[in-house]
Amino acid sequence: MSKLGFVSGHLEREQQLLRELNSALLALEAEALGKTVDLGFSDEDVLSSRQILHNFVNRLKAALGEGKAIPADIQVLVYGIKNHKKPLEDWQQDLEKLANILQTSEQLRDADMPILEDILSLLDSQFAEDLQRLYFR
Amino acid sequence: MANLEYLKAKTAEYAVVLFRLDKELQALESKKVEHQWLVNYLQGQLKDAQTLHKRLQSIVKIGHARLLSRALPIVHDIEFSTFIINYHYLPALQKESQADLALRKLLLLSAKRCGFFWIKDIAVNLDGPLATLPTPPEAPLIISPPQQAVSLLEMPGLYHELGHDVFQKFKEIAKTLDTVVYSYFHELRQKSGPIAPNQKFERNRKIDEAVQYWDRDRLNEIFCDIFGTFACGAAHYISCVDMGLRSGREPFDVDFGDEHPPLSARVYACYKALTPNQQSEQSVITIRRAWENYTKDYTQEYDFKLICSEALLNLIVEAAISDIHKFLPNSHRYEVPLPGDGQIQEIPLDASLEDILNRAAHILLTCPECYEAWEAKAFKILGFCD
Repeated sequence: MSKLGFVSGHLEREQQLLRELNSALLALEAEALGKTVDLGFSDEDVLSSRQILHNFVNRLKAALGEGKAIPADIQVLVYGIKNHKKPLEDWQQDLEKLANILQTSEQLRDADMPILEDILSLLDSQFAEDLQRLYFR
Repeated sequence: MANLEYLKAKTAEYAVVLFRLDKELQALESKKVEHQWLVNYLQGQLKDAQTLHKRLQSIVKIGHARLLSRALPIVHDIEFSTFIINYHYLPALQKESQADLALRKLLLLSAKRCGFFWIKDIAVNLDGPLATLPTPPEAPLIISPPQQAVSLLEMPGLYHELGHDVFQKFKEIAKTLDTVVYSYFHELRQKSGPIAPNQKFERNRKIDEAVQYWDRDRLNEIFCDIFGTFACGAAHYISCVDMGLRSGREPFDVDFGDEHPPLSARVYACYKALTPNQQSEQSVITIRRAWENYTKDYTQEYDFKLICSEALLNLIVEAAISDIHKFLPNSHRYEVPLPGDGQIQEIPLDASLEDILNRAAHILLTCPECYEAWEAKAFKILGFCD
């Protein structure tokens, strides 16, 4: 199989997760800015977005634990976090705090956003890198 | 973060691209009745891209810095969806020739015999080296060399390509093979007996490297070699050896920059995927001897012996075949014996593509001077000629 097949296979898997998380974070950011209607999110969308992010953060927390099996769809992300300039312990603490906030119905504050944005940024960088391989230039 | 002006430009650009794709897919909808499922699927993908585009428009309109951070992942998402349609499926369907359609028909029948219960369509584009775009697995795009409009040569490789569709469809297969590799090397790590600490460290480092080597892409490749042989028999093994011989590459070379495992490991896996009867066929014995002659001039380095040991490859073949039976319960392993020498050149009208490819490989190896005329006859029966 050519690179085309491998890369498109990777991209298909990555696209699903990236799309879901990016949309969920957008919904919560829109909520914090009072712009949900402008972006077409209903109250139910915001609620389910919070749940999506909460589940994801818990899954990521578990995968970052020592000796834990890493689900295939977040392998690259876990590798990126473990090799990130920010120490692993700090990631784990931040994720713990974030999971607690997402469990409540509190709106996310400015201070809560960077960790989610960092995660999205790692996922998006990988996606963009694979996308670039499709164009071969 | 992308700046607002750039995002405004991309939003305008996508409006043009999405409008054009919509128009072109609508035109195909009425022309390509046989591809109805695929065209509907592509329209669904396009609809998702249009929804994302609307969201991008709203983000740009609001223009708040915090929301702009969410715009770039949307841009990348739209890029991928439109790339698959724009660069691959759409041109393949728009330029589909009679030969593409003839091969499509054969592949759909092969897929059915292989137990592909999920398959809805296959698009074929006879315009490049063998490749598969298995997104979606229900309707893969198979790219194949133009010569396949007039020749059977290289066709066994198509069964390897079908394997990629299986691997993409059942994510569990990758997990099974991952576990085989992990368990094998875990056991190897425990086996060493008394060993000096620095040697142990070095040995464990090499084992870690070996585990990393067998990533999803390489497991995908070796699985497809096994699948191709399972589905097409000796003809696939022979074509794998041919690929190795004509490549002129070192058979034991472990290249960490190549998604393909070493040729010798691939040939070995194909051989092990043959049934004992197939292994004793004359054409298999002949080509195996040719491969052994070729490889005897090369040395197996430590990396190859560790990463591609026969013990590991045997476990991979066993697990792959077991998963084929598990996930494709109606698959038929190709094990039809070749007819006797007196009948080998006869082609029954109901012969499958696998039957014809196995006869082709045998005739090419045992009676090369008969091949050209025989292939022309076979091609007519396969439905490529008017």
